[in-house]
Amino acid sequence: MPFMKSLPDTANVREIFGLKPELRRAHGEMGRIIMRGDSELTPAERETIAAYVSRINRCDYCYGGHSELAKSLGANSSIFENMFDDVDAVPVSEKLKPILQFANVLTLQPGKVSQAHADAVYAAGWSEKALHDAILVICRFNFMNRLTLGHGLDPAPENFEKRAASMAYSTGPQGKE
Amino acid sequence: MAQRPEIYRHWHQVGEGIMRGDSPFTPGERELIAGYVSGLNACAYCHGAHTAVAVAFGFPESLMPSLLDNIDEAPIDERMKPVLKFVRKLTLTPAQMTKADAEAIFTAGWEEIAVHDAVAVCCYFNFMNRLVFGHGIEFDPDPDKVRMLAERKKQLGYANRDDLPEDHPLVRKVRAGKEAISSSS
Repeated sequence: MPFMKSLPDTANVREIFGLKPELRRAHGEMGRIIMRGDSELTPAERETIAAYVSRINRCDYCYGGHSELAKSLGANSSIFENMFDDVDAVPVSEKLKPILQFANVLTLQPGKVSQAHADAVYAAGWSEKALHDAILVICRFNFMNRLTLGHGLDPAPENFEKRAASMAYSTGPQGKE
Repeated sequence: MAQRPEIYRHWHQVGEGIMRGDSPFTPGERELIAGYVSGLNACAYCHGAHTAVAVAFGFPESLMPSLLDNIDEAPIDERMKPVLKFVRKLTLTPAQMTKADAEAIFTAGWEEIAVHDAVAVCCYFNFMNRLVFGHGIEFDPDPDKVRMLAERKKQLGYANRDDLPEDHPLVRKVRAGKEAISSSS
């Protein structure tokens, strides 16, 4: 149940941005570039990172929508069956694992990120640019998770698929988030 | 940030809106929240820089350490205490937020949008702290440099003026700020 009377019980992220419409466009456009712009990381991989960060932050709202979105983009659906915490226990590609491990540290113990975490990402075959792209996804979802949790949005699992469809970032520069 | 101008052009607009746009919180109060959140995340870079901006806006230097030590005993307006407690929880244990945390802000006399605005500052710095940590950027604690940069942030804000037309209000503000800095040094 949202913490503010000015938000309806069923409020979503779009309604949060309705409180400050002047920010919505810039924030949405940035999301489109981070999540769908040119990158070595596929959109499905970026959505998997988004879902993972949301999972370890225990943000059911973002986890629900972005795990559905990852699946719809071709990520292995069994990754998400058990709401994964342990990267080694789920069938993500070996190549993506060091990025998810980097995401775990940067999300839960941000001051503990070290060169060794970055080197593990490079050793898996990713470039520095790919790591930068992954960091932006991790940062964005540490923002979004706190935006939805801080407003008390209802995760509303019955809406996960609908929300995933509405977040497909397919609507051009306006974004739809 | 210079590596990805197409992204950060938008990000600076978000920052300017959150940190300097209309809000029941003064820009100084928002910088205090920014420095506090960054301190909780132990991000020396953002903590040092934004605490200095809060000081440039008039908060005493001794305030930040006492806030990080114990909000209840810190010498700050009582109205700010539930706000800082809210962002502390949202930074460290975000999934534990409850309506009572927001109610404490309303009880202290803030209007509804204050919750949104505090959340937005908290989100922005949970992003920035991780951007800095994720890239291994280190803080230069030279006090003269910190003060100079803080004064610049106080006057110029967050916008990336390279992407705005010459007659945009922010460009005029930036130009006025630059002139003020050069005439004072």
